[in-house]
Amino acid sequence: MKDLPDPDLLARAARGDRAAFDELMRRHEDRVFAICLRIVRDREVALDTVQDTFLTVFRKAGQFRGESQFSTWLYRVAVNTCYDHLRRRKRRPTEPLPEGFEPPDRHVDSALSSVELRPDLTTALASLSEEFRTTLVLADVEGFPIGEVARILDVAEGTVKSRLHRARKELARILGNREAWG
Amino acid sequence: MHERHDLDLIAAFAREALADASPARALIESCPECAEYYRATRLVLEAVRTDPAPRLTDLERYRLHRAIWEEVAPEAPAASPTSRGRWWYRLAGAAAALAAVVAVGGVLGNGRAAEEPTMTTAARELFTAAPDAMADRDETLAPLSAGAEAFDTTEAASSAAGAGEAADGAGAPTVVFSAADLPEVASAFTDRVSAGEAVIEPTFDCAEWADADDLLAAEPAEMDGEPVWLLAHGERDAPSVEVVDAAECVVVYPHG
Repeated sequence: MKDLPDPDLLARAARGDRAAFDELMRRHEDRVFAICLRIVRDREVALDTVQDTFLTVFRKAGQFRGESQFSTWLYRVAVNTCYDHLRRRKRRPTEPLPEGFEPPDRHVDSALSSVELRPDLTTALASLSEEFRTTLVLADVEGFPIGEVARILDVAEGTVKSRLHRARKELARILGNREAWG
Repeated sequence: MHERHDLDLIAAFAREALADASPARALIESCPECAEYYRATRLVLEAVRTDPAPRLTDLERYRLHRAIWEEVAPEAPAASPTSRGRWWYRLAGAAAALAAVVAVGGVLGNGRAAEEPTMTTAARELFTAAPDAMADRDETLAPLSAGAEAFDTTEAASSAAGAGEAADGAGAPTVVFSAADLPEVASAFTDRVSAGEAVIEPTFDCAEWADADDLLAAEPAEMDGEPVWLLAHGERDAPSVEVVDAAECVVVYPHG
């Protein structure tokens, strides 16, 4: 089972082979979870999105035609599931930043840019818009190539590049890189 | 930033992914905005590199799988005869062979096992072989003993069918033992839990433990023909181990 490629496992899962789907989950669940947690920023919600993602994949396993890589399809389902959860949460107030954290003031003394005073990546990512955050998570955190990110998000590569460039600049500013943007 | 600035080149340079970095270096030296973008990208990549990737805990992983199968169980099509079913038959055959070996050993030993409650060599081999079978249920079981190797597992499946049905509620057993072996089985299981080798079987459903936050492992087993769960919870380096009746979800070991 461990030697079978993803599409073969999915085909078996579509015929009701639970062991095949368990193996498929084992291969991808940590990465799906990491992506979802970065996007939705709440562990419990991320767990729900991972569950919903794999449920969707299981239910649609018979519809997968292999026109894209299985992983592309899986992560597209995951991202869309995360967006659905975020939309449902929209009415709730935004999570507050950690106590004591303030966005960097580009005019403050450069000593404040020390690593110790920088917010961690998770906090900084939370300040980005959904689109920027998701693009940056897929490209820079998960290391997907631009073309793969474009296929996952179902947008043009140029759109990915544009979002990524702006997301990096914004994230760097939040992380305290006043030397670059001050 | 001006369009003539090659942001892809700068990003690749920041990733140290260029075979020839000289064009990127020249661009950064001649273009302040490019230099700023380079530093920003480096900062982001450094933050990413030093930020540990989130992972599921073992318990979250177990609950995820359990939740998925609880959700899809009514709608899932019938499983193919491969994988789990076939794996169980092979293991049932091996268990039946083991029972035969133990029975013969008991006769020859004239009750010695009752005085010295230790696991037989074959039982110990079964304990260590079974996790491999769990990991890949389509592969042939690791050899157990000369007796087990010679045993026809297809025929054994029918003769051991009673035990198989009894164990179904607790998933396929990874170890078959008698109550006299309990202390040693528990000790061996403790070692496997501490070594991180024991798993939480997705079909485990004794709510009192399944819903606890400190569950470390739950593996199906069979004690004197009855399905049980080997459970571990608490700290991995010093886990609390219990044997639980699979049908009633009550502790049968340690006693009282």
